[in-house]
Amino acid sequence: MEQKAVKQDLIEVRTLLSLPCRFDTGPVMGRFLRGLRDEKKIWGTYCENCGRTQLPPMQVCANCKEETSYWVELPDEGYLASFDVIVIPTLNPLTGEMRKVPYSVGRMVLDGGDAMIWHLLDETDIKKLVFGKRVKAVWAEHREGRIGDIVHFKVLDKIDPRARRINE
Amino acid sequence: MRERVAVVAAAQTGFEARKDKQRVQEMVWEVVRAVVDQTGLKFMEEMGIDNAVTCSDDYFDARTISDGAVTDVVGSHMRSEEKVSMDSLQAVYYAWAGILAGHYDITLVVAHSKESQAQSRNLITNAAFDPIYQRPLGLDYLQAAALQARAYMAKNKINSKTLAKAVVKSRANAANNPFAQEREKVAISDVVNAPMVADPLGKLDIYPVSDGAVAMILATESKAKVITDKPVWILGGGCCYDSFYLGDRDLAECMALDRAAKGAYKMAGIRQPTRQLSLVELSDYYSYQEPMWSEGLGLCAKGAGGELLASGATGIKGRIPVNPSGGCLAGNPLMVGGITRAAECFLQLRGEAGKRQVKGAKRALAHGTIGPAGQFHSVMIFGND
Amino acid sequence: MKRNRNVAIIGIGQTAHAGHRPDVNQVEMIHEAVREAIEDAGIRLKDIDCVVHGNMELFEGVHQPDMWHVIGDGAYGKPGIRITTGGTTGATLVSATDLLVASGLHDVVMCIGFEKQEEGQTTTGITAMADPIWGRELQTGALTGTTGAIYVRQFGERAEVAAAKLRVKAGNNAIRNRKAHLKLKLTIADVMNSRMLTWPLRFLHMCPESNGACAIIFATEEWAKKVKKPVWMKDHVTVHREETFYWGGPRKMQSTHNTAALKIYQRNGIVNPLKEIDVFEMYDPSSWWELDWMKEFLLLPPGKNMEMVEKGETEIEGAFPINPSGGVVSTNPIGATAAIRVAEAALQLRGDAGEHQVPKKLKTALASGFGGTMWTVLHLLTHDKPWIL
Repeated sequence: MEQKAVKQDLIEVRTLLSLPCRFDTGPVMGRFLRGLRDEKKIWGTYCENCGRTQLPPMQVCANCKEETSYWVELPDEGYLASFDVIVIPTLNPLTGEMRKVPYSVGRMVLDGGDAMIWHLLDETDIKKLVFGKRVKAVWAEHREGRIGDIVHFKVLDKIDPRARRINE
Repeated sequence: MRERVAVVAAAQTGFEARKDKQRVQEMVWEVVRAVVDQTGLKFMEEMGIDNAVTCSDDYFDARTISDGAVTDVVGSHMRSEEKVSMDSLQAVYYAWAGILAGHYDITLVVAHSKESQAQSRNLITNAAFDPIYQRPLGLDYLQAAALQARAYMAKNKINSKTLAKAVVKSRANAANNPFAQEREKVAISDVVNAPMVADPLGKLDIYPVSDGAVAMILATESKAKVITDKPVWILGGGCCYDSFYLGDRDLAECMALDRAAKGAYKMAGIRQPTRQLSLVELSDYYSYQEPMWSEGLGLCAKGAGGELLASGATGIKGRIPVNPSGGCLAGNPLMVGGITRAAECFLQLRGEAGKRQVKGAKRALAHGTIGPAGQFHSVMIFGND
Repeated sequence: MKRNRNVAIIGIGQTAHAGHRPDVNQVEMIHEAVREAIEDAGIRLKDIDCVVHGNMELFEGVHQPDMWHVIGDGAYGKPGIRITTGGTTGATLVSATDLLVASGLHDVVMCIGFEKQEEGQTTTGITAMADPIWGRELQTGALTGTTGAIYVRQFGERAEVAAAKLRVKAGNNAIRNRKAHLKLKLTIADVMNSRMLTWPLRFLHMCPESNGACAIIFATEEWAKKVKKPVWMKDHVTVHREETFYWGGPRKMQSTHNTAALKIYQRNGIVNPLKEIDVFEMYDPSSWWELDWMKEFLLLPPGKNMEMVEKGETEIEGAFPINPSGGVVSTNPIGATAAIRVAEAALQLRGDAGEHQVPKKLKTALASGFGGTMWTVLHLLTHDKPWIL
């Protein structure tokens, strides 16, 4: 259908949708957040069926469709697997405020296994973000039981030996 | 000859005003695990559960793509899952269609909602009105229901005391339902004297804020008979939309329910509902909805809903028990009402409804509704032979 | 998997997708698509027995919009279902509509997917899909350069040229599609120099926010006999995925695209997809993903996707046309987008795609939908009736 040429005065209605919420964290994420706040520890879950360590921790292993087996304490350092530097500011739906840009996020492999964590990085220069760079968590002085209890992961100037592919 | 489809397992969390000890994920896993344990089925195509149909709402969950939160716990990693985002009886309906189509043989259906999460349920349902006209007026589902209640009461000369009987009965029945939320007995005077919220609906006329989840497994006939020796067959279903602007409708009528019921009855061969149905589980989010939906379902003549309620015929020992579970008034989140009604029908038809068992139940009706003042209705008929 | 009924597509309607539609409200917009579909089918509104509706409701800020839209989509007085699965919504609507007809419960069912993106904040809406306790603090919409980064690490600038070439193709194809939103005549340099979003994903690689609706009418064989050019839904597969991502980690992330493709080929005896499928409308949220997912869907050996793109084999006149419509990077009203893939695939099979018609006899088409946490829905359509029942 062709769009007719519009001559009328088009009125628009503006509204702001705001839905105040309170999220229960439950036993699994609750334990994880208390671990951040009280112990400065990162807790993941391990599935003995497929051997996968899950972070965020989950009650159910998505692969196996069975309950996970153990809580595992994870180190707060590892290497960078993937990353994004966001330069476009957008609204944060949790706060209604614009995100400060640039900011970086990364997915990092924590030491000792295959657990991966998704979090902020301190480095926003894309040239310095390289697959395999070592990272270490920077903890907040005052922690509240939020993912922000880890301020971000510091990107270090060393490449992890595990980041080398077999044919490289 | 196409195979029939049966419900072979059902599970409910208890419904509570706030399940603060669980996230959505744990709440859903509780019922998924229960139906998996009931049937011993694996999450494997062709030889177990083929797919999942979930039901949740992005606004109540405050999460875009709200089924993303539960994919892991409904066994849908690398498998099929589809989300219905209206009353959960439609999730059962859709799962039924998928099996009738031959595309799937065994489907897991799961509905969840945590109404306690939002500070105001009314803010969310206010957003269901068009932002151009009805929303700025401040309408929400509660107020739409209040308008409808007023219209219905005026047309049929029913007063609040009659409507209160629905609440009294709901609580009395819920006392025998371990899943129900509001199980304390109330008297008519409690209901009538409760604080007014949206005239004519007082606090007790309105379904409480509630958290909970329900899961079911549907299977095609040949597999159903192997999974359980008490399959509950789906005999018919119908659904219908009414118009949207409240002013375009006669709120004292429920055209959509009339049509939905007609479609379901036709398919199930029900010509005399009160004779052929052993019980009815209808979605009564507000007290006036029990008598009003009873009329739409043909349980009595139009205008006689109040009399039917007052007569006791819809009591648990009456000739047409309505809501032996306690219904939505006893506590069901908005999205989860329909499937909970179906889950109750399931239990009743298997003789597993404990103290609220309707004796010799053979055919049961489940009803779901959503939208302002019952804009949308869905009806499904179940049987055990 | 068996089928109890053949299901035909008898009517297709789309709005002319656009960046701005201040001249219509949501209902009026979807009504345009509905009318076109009904006229295309040569039926009346009263012939439709069920309406399946979907979008991503947190975008426009309207809760349960199917209630409002009843006044424009013909669902008044009729059965219907509302199904929403994020970006895959349009495709899931198609699957649902197909199943409703195949079930025997309904004979003529219309699905409508829509989005009026400008009435909300798209990126914020997408950010809200993440877990409020974790990812929602970190995510910015659908913006990620991870796939591109993996390709650049392996292939260097060659990968950037390939992605750019795909964007140029999309623009050229869109110019030939009167319904497309962004009809951009681009050069490879334009794409490679466009504004960076998150390296190496650039502005021109990424899909736009569009306003539009798509309505498709499905019906039984009996109804198909009354229609000039029915095409058929043969099969569909849906593959969802867990919440968490593992990009770049020591465990390879399973690809839902690959899993869905393998499943649909296995069920339908397709041994060589490049030969046995004639046209593919792939949901390409970015040109990088078009490049990568070609490989996943078509079971290509490593590097073959790059070759095919470099040789122009996926152009409209090429050996294996992909996205003759201009794809999602040209047009993206999210609730409709995945349905548009099916609509466009169907138009191709009918020979009705006008200037962007693939100039070959087409017998089998593939259409994919994408959304959620890398979910895939895949549809297989055929020119001829698929099942003997």
